[in-house]
Amino acid sequence: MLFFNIHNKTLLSESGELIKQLACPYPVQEVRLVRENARQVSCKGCERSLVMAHALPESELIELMQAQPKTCLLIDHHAPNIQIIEETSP
Amino acid sequence: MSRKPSGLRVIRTARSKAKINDAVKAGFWPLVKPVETNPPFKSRFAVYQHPDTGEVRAWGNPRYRLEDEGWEQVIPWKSYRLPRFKEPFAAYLIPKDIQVGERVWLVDLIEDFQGVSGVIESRLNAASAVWTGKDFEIDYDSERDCGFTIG
Repeated sequence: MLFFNIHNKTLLSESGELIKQLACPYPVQEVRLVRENARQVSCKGCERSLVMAHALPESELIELMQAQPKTCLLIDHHAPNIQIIEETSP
Repeated sequence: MSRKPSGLRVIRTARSKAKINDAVKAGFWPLVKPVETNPPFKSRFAVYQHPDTGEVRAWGNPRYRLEDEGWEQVIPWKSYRLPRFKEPFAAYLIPKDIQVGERVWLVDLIEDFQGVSGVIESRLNAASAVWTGKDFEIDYDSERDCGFTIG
Protein backbone atom coordinates (compact mmCIF):
# COMPACT_ATOMS: atom_id res chain seq x y z
CA MET A 1 0.00 0.00 0.00
CA LEU A 2 1.27 3.48 -0.94
CA PHE A 3 0.22 6.65 0.83
CA PHE A 4 -0.32 9.95 -0.98
CA ASN A 5 -0.74 13.20 0.90
CA ILE A 6 -3.02 15.23 -1.36
CA HIS A 7 -2.05 18.53 0.30
CA ASN A 8 1.74 18.45 0.10
CA LYS A 9 1.73 15.94 -2.79
CA THR A 10 4.13 13.53 -1.14
CA LEU A 11 4.08 9.85 -2.02
CA LEU A 12 5.10 7.58 0.83
CA SER A 13 5.84 3.88 1.00
CA GLU A 14 3.93 1.58 3.34
CA SER A 15 6.70 2.06 5.93
CA GLY A 16 6.47 5.85 5.64
CA GLU A 17 9.55 6.33 3.48
CA LEU A 18 9.35 9.36 1.14
CA ILE A 19 9.25 8.14 -2.46
CA LYS A 20 8.67 11.48 -4.15
CA GLN A 21 7.15 14.91 -3.66
CA LEU A 22 5.27 15.57 -6.86
CA ALA A 23 5.50 18.92 -8.61
CA CYS A 24 4.26 19.82 -12.08
CA PRO A 25 3.98 23.30 -13.60
CA TYR A 26 1.10 22.28 -15.86
CA PRO A 27 -2.48 22.59 -14.56
CA VAL A 28 -3.81 19.06 -14.48
CA GLN A 29 -6.99 20.08 -16.31
CA GLU A 30 -4.95 21.34 -19.26
CA VAL A 31 -2.71 18.35 -19.82
CA ARG A 32 -3.68 15.49 -22.05
CA LEU A 33 -2.51 12.05 -21.05
CA VAL A 34 -2.31 9.17 -23.47
CA ARG A 35 -1.79 5.63 -22.31
CA GLU A 36 1.45 4.12 -23.64
CA ASN A 37 1.25 0.74 -21.92
CA ALA A 38 0.03 -0.81 -18.69
CA ARG A 39 2.56 1.16 -16.64
CA GLN A 40 3.06 4.44 -18.46
CA VAL A 41 1.20 7.35 -19.98
CA SER A 42 2.66 10.11 -22.08
CA CYS A 43 1.96 13.69 -21.08
CA LYS A 44 1.15 16.04 -23.94
CA GLY A 45 2.03 19.00 -21.71
CA CYS A 46 5.77 18.34 -21.86
CA GLU A 47 6.01 15.19 -23.98
CA ARG A 48 7.39 13.13 -21.09
CA SER A 49 6.39 9.67 -20.04
CA LEU A 50 4.77 9.33 -16.64
CA VAL A 51 4.91 6.17 -14.60
CA MET A 52 1.60 5.18 -13.02
CA ALA A 53 2.63 4.58 -9.43
CA HIS A 54 -0.14 2.09 -8.72
CA ALA A 55 0.91 -0.11 -11.65
CA LEU A 56 4.30 -1.06 -10.20
CA PRO A 57 5.13 -3.24 -7.21
CA GLU A 58 6.17 -0.96 -4.35
CA SER A 59 9.75 -2.27 -4.25
CA GLU A 60 10.14 -1.70 -7.98
CA LEU A 61 8.76 1.83 -7.69
CA ILE A 62 11.17 2.68 -4.86
CA GLU A 63 14.13 1.31 -6.83
CA LEU A 64 13.07 3.28 -9.90
CA MET A 65 12.78 6.55 -7.99
CA GLN A 66 16.11 6.02 -6.26
CA ALA A 67 17.81 5.38 -9.60
CA GLN A 68 15.91 8.08 -11.53
CA PRO A 69 14.47 10.55 -9.03
CA LYS A 70 13.29 12.96 -11.72
CA THR A 71 10.89 10.39 -13.15
CA CYS A 72 7.40 11.87 -13.42
CA LEU A 73 4.66 9.95 -11.66
CA LEU A 74 0.91 9.77 -12.03
CA ILE A 75 -0.97 9.13 -8.80
CA ASP A 76 -4.46 7.75 -9.35
CA HIS A 77 -6.46 8.84 -6.30
CA HIS A 78 -8.80 5.90 -6.74
CA ALA A 79 -6.24 3.14 -7.23
CA PRO A 80 -6.88 0.33 -4.73
CA ASN A 81 -3.24 0.22 -3.63
CA ILE A 82 -2.96 3.97 -2.96
CA GLN A 83 -4.41 5.48 0.19
CA ILE A 84 -5.09 9.20 0.10
CA ILE A 85 -4.03 11.15 3.18
CA GLU A 86 -6.09 14.26 3.82
CA GLU A 87 -3.88 15.66 6.61
CA THR A 88 -2.62 19.17 6.02
CA SER A 89 0.53 18.69 8.13
CA PRO A 90 3.31 16.42 6.81
CA MET B 1 -18.08 15.23 -10.20
CA SER B 2 -20.11 12.98 -12.46
CA ARG B 3 -22.94 11.88 -10.16
CA LYS B 4 -26.01 14.10 -10.06
CA PRO B 5 -26.64 15.69 -6.67
CA SER B 6 -30.27 15.38 -5.67
CA GLY B 7 -32.57 18.33 -6.20
CA LEU B 8 -30.91 19.81 -9.25
CA ARG B 9 -32.88 20.37 -12.40
CA VAL B 10 -31.44 18.52 -15.37
CA ILE B 11 -30.46 20.59 -18.42
CA ARG B 12 -30.26 18.52 -21.57
CA THR B 13 -28.09 19.06 -24.62
CA ALA B 14 -29.18 18.86 -28.24
CA ARG B 15 -26.40 17.84 -30.61
CA SER B 16 -27.93 18.44 -34.02
CA LYS B 17 -29.69 21.30 -35.78
CA ALA B 18 -32.88 19.24 -36.07
CA LYS B 19 -32.92 18.38 -32.37
CA ILE B 20 -32.16 21.98 -31.40
CA ASN B 21 -35.06 23.24 -33.46
CA ASP B 22 -37.36 20.50 -32.16
CA ALA B 23 -36.53 21.75 -28.66
CA VAL B 24 -37.25 25.34 -29.74
CA LYS B 25 -40.72 24.23 -30.84
CA ALA B 26 -41.15 22.52 -27.46
CA GLY B 27 -40.48 25.82 -25.67
CA PHE B 28 -36.76 25.71 -24.84
CA TRP B 29 -34.21 28.40 -25.61
CA PRO B 30 -31.07 26.85 -27.17
CA LEU B 31 -27.76 28.17 -25.83
CA VAL B 32 -25.62 27.31 -28.86
CA LYS B 33 -21.91 26.54 -28.51
CA PRO B 34 -19.17 25.15 -30.74
CA VAL B 35 -18.04 21.63 -29.93
CA GLU B 36 -14.26 21.37 -30.03
CA THR B 37 -12.23 18.32 -29.12
CA ASN B 38 -9.19 16.50 -30.33
CA PRO B 39 -8.13 15.31 -32.87
CA PRO B 40 -7.61 18.61 -34.67
CA PHE B 41 -9.51 18.07 -37.91
CA LYS B 42 -11.10 21.32 -38.95
CA SER B 43 -14.36 22.54 -40.41
CA ARG B 44 -15.29 26.11 -41.33
CA PHE B 45 -18.81 27.26 -40.52
CA ALA B 46 -20.99 29.79 -38.75
CA VAL B 47 -24.22 29.32 -36.84
CA TYR B 48 -27.07 31.83 -36.92
CA GLN B 49 -29.93 32.11 -34.48
CA HIS B 50 -33.23 33.92 -34.89
CA PRO B 51 -33.48 36.41 -32.01
CA ASP B 52 -37.22 35.95 -31.55
CA THR B 53 -37.84 32.26 -32.12
CA GLY B 54 -34.44 30.79 -31.17
CA GLU B 55 -34.33 28.67 -34.35
CA VAL B 56 -30.79 27.98 -35.55
CA ARG B 57 -29.23 27.60 -38.99
CA ALA B 58 -25.74 26.32 -39.70
CA TRP B 59 -23.96 27.81 -42.68
CA GLY B 60 -20.89 26.48 -44.46
CA ASN B 61 -20.66 29.13 -47.15
CA PRO B 62 -19.44 32.60 -46.09
CA ARG B 63 -21.05 34.23 -49.14
CA TYR B 64 -24.50 33.72 -47.65
CA ARG B 65 -25.11 36.15 -44.82
CA LEU B 66 -28.27 35.87 -42.79
CA GLU B 67 -27.78 39.14 -40.88
CA ASP B 68 -29.75 40.96 -43.60
CA GLU B 69 -32.73 38.76 -42.83
CA GLY B 70 -32.65 39.54 -39.12
CA TRP B 71 -30.68 36.51 -37.93
CA GLU B 72 -27.86 36.85 -35.39
CA GLN B 73 -24.54 35.13 -35.79
CA VAL B 74 -24.10 33.22 -32.50
CA ILE B 75 -21.02 31.22 -33.54
CA PRO B 76 -18.70 33.28 -35.75
CA TRP B 77 -17.07 32.25 -39.00
CA LYS B 78 -14.00 30.29 -38.12
CA SER B 79 -12.30 26.97 -38.64
CA TYR B 80 -13.31 24.77 -35.72
CA ARG B 81 -11.64 21.54 -34.74
CA LEU B 82 -13.99 18.74 -35.63
CA PRO B 83 -15.40 17.01 -32.58
CA ARG B 84 -15.80 13.38 -31.74
CA PHE B 85 -19.50 14.13 -31.92
CA LYS B 86 -21.26 14.14 -35.27
CA GLU B 87 -22.09 17.84 -35.31
CA PRO B 88 -19.54 20.59 -34.64
CA PHE B 89 -22.00 22.56 -32.51
CA ALA B 90 -24.53 21.78 -29.83
CA ALA B 91 -26.90 23.62 -27.51
CA TYR B 92 -27.90 23.49 -23.89
CA LEU B 93 -31.70 23.54 -23.82
CA ILE B 94 -32.65 26.32 -21.44
CA PRO B 95 -36.11 26.12 -19.85
CA LYS B 96 -38.04 29.37 -20.06
CA ASP B 97 -38.49 29.51 -16.28
CA ILE B 98 -34.80 29.12 -15.33
CA GLN B 99 -33.71 31.58 -12.65
CA VAL B 100 -30.45 33.53 -12.55
CA GLY B 101 -28.32 31.85 -9.90
CA GLU B 102 -30.13 28.52 -10.24
CA ARG B 103 -27.82 25.54 -9.89
CA VAL B 104 -28.57 22.86 -12.46
CA TRP B 105 -27.16 19.58 -13.68
CA LEU B 106 -25.70 19.66 -17.22
CA VAL B 107 -26.21 16.04 -18.13
CA ASP B 108 -24.23 16.21 -21.41
CA LEU B 109 -21.40 18.74 -21.22
CA ILE B 110 -20.54 20.53 -24.45
CA GLU B 111 -17.26 21.90 -23.10
CA ASP B 112 -14.28 19.59 -22.72
CA PHE B 113 -13.00 18.92 -19.23
CA GLN B 114 -10.65 16.18 -18.18
CA GLY B 115 -12.70 13.52 -16.52
CA VAL B 116 -12.47 10.97 -13.75
CA SER B 117 -9.43 8.86 -13.09
CA GLY B 118 -8.82 5.29 -14.02
CA VAL B 119 -9.49 5.94 -17.66
CA ILE B 120 -6.81 8.16 -19.10
CA GLU B 121 -8.04 10.45 -21.89
CA SER B 122 -11.46 10.40 -20.26
CA ARG B 123 -13.77 13.34 -20.66
CA LEU B 124 -16.08 14.72 -18.00
CA ASN B 125 -19.59 13.97 -19.24
CA ALA B 126 -21.73 15.86 -16.76
CA ALA B 127 -21.36 18.57 -14.14
CA SER B 128 -23.35 20.95 -12.02
CA ALA B 129 -23.45 24.58 -13.09
CA VAL B 130 -25.00 27.92 -12.17
CA TRP B 131 -27.06 29.91 -14.65
CA THR B 132 -25.78 33.50 -14.94
CA GLY B 133 -28.58 34.72 -17.16
CA LYS B 134 -26.47 34.35 -20.30
CA ASP B 135 -24.42 31.21 -19.82
CA PHE B 136 -23.50 28.55 -17.28
CA GLU B 137 -20.65 28.76 -14.78
CA ILE B 138 -19.60 25.13 -14.69
CA ASP B 139 -18.39 23.64 -11.41
CA TYR B 140 -15.03 22.11 -12.13
CA ASP B 141 -12.36 21.23 -9.64
CA SER B 142 -9.36 19.64 -11.31
CA GLU B 143 -8.25 17.72 -8.22
CA ARG B 144 -11.74 16.40 -7.55
CA ASP B 145 -12.84 15.76 -11.12
CA CYS B 146 -9.61 14.48 -12.60
CA GLY B 147 -8.88 12.27 -9.62
CA PHE B 148 -5.18 12.11 -10.21
CA THR B 149 -2.00 14.08 -9.55
CA ILE B 150 1.05 14.27 -11.78
CA GLY B 151 4.56 15.43 -11.18
